[in-house]
Amino acid sequence: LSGGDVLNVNPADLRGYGSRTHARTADFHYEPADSEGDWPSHHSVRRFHGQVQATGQGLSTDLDGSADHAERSADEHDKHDDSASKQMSTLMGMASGLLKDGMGAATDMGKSLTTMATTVGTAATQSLTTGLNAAMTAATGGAKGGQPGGAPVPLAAGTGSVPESPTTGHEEKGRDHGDADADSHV
Amino acid sequence: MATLTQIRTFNTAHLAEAAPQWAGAADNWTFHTSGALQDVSTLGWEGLNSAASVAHMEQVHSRALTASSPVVAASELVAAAASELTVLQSRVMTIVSWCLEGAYWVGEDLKLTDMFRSPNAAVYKMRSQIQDWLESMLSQAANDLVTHDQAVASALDGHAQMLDNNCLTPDQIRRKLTHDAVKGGIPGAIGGGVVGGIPGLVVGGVAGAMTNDLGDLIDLVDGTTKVCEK
Repeated sequence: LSGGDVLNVNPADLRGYGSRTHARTADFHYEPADSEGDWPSHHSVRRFHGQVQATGQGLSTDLDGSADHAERSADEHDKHDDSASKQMSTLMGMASGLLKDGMGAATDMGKSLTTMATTVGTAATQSLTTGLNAAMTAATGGAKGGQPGGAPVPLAAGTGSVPESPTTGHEEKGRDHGDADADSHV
Repeated sequence: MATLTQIRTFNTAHLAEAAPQWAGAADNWTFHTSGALQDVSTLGWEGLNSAASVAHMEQVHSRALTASSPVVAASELVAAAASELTVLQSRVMTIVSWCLEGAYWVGEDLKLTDMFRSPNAAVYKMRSQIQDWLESMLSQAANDLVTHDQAVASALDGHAQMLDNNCLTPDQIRRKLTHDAVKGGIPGAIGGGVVGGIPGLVVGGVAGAMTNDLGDLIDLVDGTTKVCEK
């Protein structure tokens, strides 16, 4: 907004009031033709008219001053408006920055948590798998189908595949014990 | 007592011309200050500066109204006095014409001299009595004119005194302005909404503006007062 936008009245228009107010009294200058022939009323009229002119001049000065004041007010308003806007803009920028930072931090944290969860999950699964394999090895005495004393076949970590039977070392269905052809398909 | 020449040359033009001028000036003051007040009151924002402008213009308009009162009264006074004094002057000049028609010479001091100088004692005595009568009438009429002129001057001086009283001293105006501005200016100051939302954000600026406004107004009124004191 500018001063002109917020003012319904142009301050410059106010300035005209001063000159218009004083104009009529300024036009009339009473000067007696022969001051030696003055009567008391002449002196009083002259004195009073001087006061009228002074009063009109004073009001005119006031009105012109008011026009100046209105103009300065408009400028001040703009400055304050700009100042307030700028401060608000700065604050909004700061708040926006904080929000973005917060979102960024939250996003980073989310990523970290996801990574951490994945890592932890993978480690846990691997630990569990290792533990299970160790348990199966202990339970079978280290023997596994046709390969006595052989190393246990590890489960694929995190694959979700069906584990072999701890007693036979083979899958529980779809397979024949000792079937060479079937084994050849593994 | 006025001389014959003074009475003969006396005219009421100064009164007749001043009356409409003063009435017009008073109308002019109230009309334009009222218009300016209306215009300032429609300023498109709210706040200390706007309030100060309106308050100042209200004061100017109030001063115009107050000053108009004795000026209008003075205008009516001199308008009436112009015709009254004209009548009184005409009365003096009518008596002067009677004197001249009766062969009495009218001196500057309004004393009569019998120009007929009749040798007849009875006529002389009669004319002497008429002379005294005319002199008395002339003196009374001239006195009425002078007295009324003085009364007009005195009444006009009274109005002038009232007009003088409207010019407040700088201290009086400073106190009034400070009171008015502090009383009505701070609430709703510029950026009030921002101040309400974020304490202390622009309070300093508004306080500064208030100080500047008061300073400007006081300077302005000081200048005006000086004009009034002339």
